[in-house]
Amino acid sequence: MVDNTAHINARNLNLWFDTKQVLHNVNFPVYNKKITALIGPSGCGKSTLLRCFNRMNDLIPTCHIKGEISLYNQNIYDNKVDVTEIRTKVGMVFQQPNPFPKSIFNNVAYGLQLRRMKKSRISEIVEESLKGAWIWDEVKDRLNQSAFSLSGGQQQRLCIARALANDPEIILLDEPTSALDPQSTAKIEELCLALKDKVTILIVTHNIAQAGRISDFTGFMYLGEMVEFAKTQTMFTVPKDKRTEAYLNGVFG
Amino acid sequence: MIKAIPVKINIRKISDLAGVNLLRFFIIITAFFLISFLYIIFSRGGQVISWEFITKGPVDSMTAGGIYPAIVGTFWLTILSIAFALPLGILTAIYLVSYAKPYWFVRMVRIAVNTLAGIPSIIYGLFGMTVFVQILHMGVSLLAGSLTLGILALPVIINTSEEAFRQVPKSFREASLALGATERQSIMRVILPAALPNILTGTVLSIGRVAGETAPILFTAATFYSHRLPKSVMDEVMALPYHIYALMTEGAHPAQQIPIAYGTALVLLALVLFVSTIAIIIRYRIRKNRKW
Repeated sequence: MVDNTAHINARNLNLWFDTKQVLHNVNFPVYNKKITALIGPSGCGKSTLLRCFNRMNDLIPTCHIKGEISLYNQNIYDNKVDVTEIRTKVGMVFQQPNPFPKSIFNNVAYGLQLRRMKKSRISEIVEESLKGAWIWDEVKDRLNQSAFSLSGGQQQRLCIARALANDPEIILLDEPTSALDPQSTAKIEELCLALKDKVTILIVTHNIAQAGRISDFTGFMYLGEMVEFAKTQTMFTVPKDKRTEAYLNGVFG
Repeated sequence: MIKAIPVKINIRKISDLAGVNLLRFFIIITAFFLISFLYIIFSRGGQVISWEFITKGPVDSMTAGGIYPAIVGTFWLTILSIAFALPLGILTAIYLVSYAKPYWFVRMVRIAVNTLAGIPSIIYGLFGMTVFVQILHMGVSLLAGSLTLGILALPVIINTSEEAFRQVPKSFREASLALGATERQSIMRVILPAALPNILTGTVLSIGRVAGETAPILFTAATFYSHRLPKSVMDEVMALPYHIYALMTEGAHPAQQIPIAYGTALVLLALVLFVSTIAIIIRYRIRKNRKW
């Protein structure tokens, strides 16, 4: 399923926690400026797979990985790669909104402050990023207030703004709406569609309808394998694999 | 029709009532000790408290005058020992929480820390005398006493700091690393600030302990009587707890000395309360903006 026209590819990716193999020989492309959704039942390894793309699994001492993920022809699992560099190119938004206990401004400025950017430039990028994440109008008058004063949906958009500020190539979204109410969810979905002009999106969701609404490509995972990867429209109308069909029809979840 | 619930006194009700009253009784005992403690300190020490008492040095072989040098001595002993123990304790805790793999070395450090916490304070005094006063040639001095007190405070500060770091949600660290921060940047910019209020709580406890300790400074810093204030960290100092001890055990005029001892105790209590209040205010200020 590897496609060399894609900018990002997972190739023969295998992952173990201790001796338990969680990902089995996963191959799939992530196309530039498209939304790719990963779906599958709980425990199928979709979140673990997502976390391979910014090497967050490195935090788990028992985890080891074979295979590669290429980002613009560079294998991010190469020994010479600077992990922090990878993580600025690959942004991530988590399931639970997790702003820092800092002001709204400093949350978005965080990644820039790490790289000691000029203050005037930081202010510009913070504004751009907040606008890009559709939250500027709601927070422009209270940038110095704590990020915890925001609602859950606003916090999640703040987290998206925080990721955007690093000017990433791709943003990973790990079930970003599962902790949000329907209205906030709709807003984030619309935002994703608007963002794909600028940035590639890889989203994990347990909400099949959501994958159908926003994604261009979908990968269906089951028991650590990439069972099927196709254009979303194709998969949702004529799934090739029986397991995909069963999952999409709600036979198991 | 709804049947009325029969009212009857049964065993469960009686034992319940007895239990509650037993708890009340224990509360009263506790309160009694606390109140009588404060009453005795105030009633016996209150009479000697005056402006002169807290601003002048002792005169007439400690039968009159004030305790200003002891206040200054205890103040500096406390500040210096915390200034020594707090960074060391926080850094140790950071290492234990963030970097150390659960190998034998870390287990050893933990065991050492917990053992240190249980060692009687007089042993710290002996240790400080041997190492700081004699081997390192600091002499009986503010510095030697502060370092000894610092080591005494270290286990509490390490343990509370470690606990404080563990209470910081893991998601903060993840979020920080996911934005391209290094481990060190994540600790300095996110985790440490988030843990600080709880670390301060531990520090407050340590301040109370350090300010009130007599045994560790007995051989390392304290002097029985001094006309002048310490000019450098190499000077001997008077200290409030040691001053109480001296007033009660030495000198030839117990009738005049004992009220002064209680007065000194009152000042020591007030001082600890004052420092704790400042720390609590700082903690409250920091916490006000932190909700997670």
